[in-house]
Amino acid sequence: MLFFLPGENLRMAIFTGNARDLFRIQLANFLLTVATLGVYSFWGRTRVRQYLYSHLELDGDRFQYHGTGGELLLGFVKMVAAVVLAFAGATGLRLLIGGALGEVAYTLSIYFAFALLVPVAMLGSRRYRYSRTSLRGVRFGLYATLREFFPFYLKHLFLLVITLGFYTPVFQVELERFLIQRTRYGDEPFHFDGTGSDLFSGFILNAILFWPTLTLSRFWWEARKRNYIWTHTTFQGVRFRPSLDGPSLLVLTFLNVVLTVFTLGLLTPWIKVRAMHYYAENILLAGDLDLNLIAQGSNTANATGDALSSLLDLGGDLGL
Amino acid sequence: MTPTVWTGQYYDGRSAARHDVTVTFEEQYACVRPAHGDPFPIPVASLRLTAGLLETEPVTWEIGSGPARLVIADRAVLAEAPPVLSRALKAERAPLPALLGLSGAVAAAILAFLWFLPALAEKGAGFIPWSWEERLGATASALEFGKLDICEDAALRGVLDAAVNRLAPRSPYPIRVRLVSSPMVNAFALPGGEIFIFAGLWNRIRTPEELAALLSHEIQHVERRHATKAIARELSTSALIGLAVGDATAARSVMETMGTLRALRYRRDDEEDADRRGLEAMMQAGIHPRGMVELFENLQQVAQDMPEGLVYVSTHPSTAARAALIRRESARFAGAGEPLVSERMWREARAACR
Repeated sequence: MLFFLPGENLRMAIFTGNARDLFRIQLANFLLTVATLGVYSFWGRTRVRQYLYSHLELDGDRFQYHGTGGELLLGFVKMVAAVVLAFAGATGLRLLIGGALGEVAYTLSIYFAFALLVPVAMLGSRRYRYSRTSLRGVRFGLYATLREFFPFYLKHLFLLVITLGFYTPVFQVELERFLIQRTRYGDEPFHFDGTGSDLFSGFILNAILFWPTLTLSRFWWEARKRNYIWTHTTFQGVRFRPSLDGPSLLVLTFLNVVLTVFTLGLLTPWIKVRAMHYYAENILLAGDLDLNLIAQGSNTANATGDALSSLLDLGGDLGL
Repeated sequence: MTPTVWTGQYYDGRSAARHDVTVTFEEQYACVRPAHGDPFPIPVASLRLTAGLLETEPVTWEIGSGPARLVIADRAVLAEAPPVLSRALKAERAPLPALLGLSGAVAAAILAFLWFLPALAEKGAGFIPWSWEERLGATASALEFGKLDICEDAALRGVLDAAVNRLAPRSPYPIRVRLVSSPMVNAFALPGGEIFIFAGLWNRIRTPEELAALLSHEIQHVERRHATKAIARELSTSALIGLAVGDATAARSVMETMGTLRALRYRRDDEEDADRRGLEAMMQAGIHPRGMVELFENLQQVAQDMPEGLVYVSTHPSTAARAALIRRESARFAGAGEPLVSERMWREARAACR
């Protein structure tokens, strides 16, 4: 299906799923998760992703999700191992140093370990999701290694700290630039041409209004930021045309929290479907794509090995 | 019969090019005819269904291990294509039998830990020789209760001994009752026959029959080995924990359990058992069972007066069921009953340890 809107050659993805089917899937997931003491949840989550992806249509073609529950389970086990290792290391340090200084070293090393795990999770989950997503039989991919990302992340984190947080918009935009520039569909890369300083006024406005609005201003800031990032993202020279707005993000987030808390997540399909419609309708493509010429990328060959790539490189989706 | 011609899309997995095709199914092959180019066959055995079981999904097969795929929007194809093609991809399903089996095993282990082992230990406790129980009780008594301030009085001793002789004339245990000078409203029995009554409770007892009822109840705890069984239940769990953490010094577990003896709770069944058999023993001894009814009402009154810190009342909850049981059983008793001790002895004993 293809939508032409007046004025510009805009096209959008269409979400064709419905809440009732998704509810059935989630109900079965819920029961099986209880029956297996929680282990099934990894397969359940995979089933939900499969449903959401396979009901998202672009130009007549459905997306497809290739991840498996086993991969998520493995990623989870690795994450648990990493956290246990972090605590074990910190405890060893506390015993080695001893006294009040040992306590300080313990606390600091825990913070440090989690600061290290954040970029691992950030890169790992996105890389996993992209490598398990395909359209027209061609996979997406994030071609970045932790070895590249880590120094980059630490450098910008350092700048963030010494500027007392004023670097935040640049930090977030630079992270997106790093990740988007290395994202490809098949062999065709995405491009990003934004600069963080454009977002500075929005950031300051949010900082001023954050507490007076009881933190609600963050939804407007989030919409502004995401719109900016999408607007400056191109694929085959075609630009995205986002129109996300604060009130909608607020309502979606609020309903999601309410349904998760009060219905154990069982009624979240309605909000998930609503969110899918919202994003599909509000992130448009301004131009024609020519996908016929795009060749399969090189990451498909070792896609399943992604989660196993190395010990430090946690790779797989951390189930976050 | 000519096979149905299905229209669909074919993606070769090498590029994102979409090829509009028509497809016919034969027994072994799917015949794919592109709008431009030569027709080619795909072995049915290499097609694996990845989407299409839901009405809202077009039927999608991966070819081989992917990423090439064949898509047919009309779901009627599932009914007409070879049956093997309507089976979903197995590799991506959860190993449910294994997961459920594992969960069952874990649940069984938890159940064994919480219920089966204690039950087994309790059964085993029934075979413990009396002498062991006596020693267990003596050790506990020396360890935990040696510090207690015991009130000794000849008149009191006379009353207590008389009660024990009447209520448990043929007991295999050397029943010994002692009064503790403590304001706590409490009484308990140790394995092997030691019974402690605290002054707080003693001072509230109004008649010899109430005392007989209290002692009869506690003697039944001893004779029915309720404490020993409770320790065995407790021990089996803590010993298992000890085993799990590599600390198998059973002696230590025993000591720790004895430390918790004060807080040991009999099961509700045990309490009812002690009520019923205690009443029985009173009636056999010719003591009027209204003592049990009165004691029960007395304790309920006590509970209303001072709801906090009442150990005996809190471990012997005055449920309606217990009250009904006691009243029903005691109604069977015909006759006036013989007094436990003479009025004078009772008055002298009551004066002790005030």
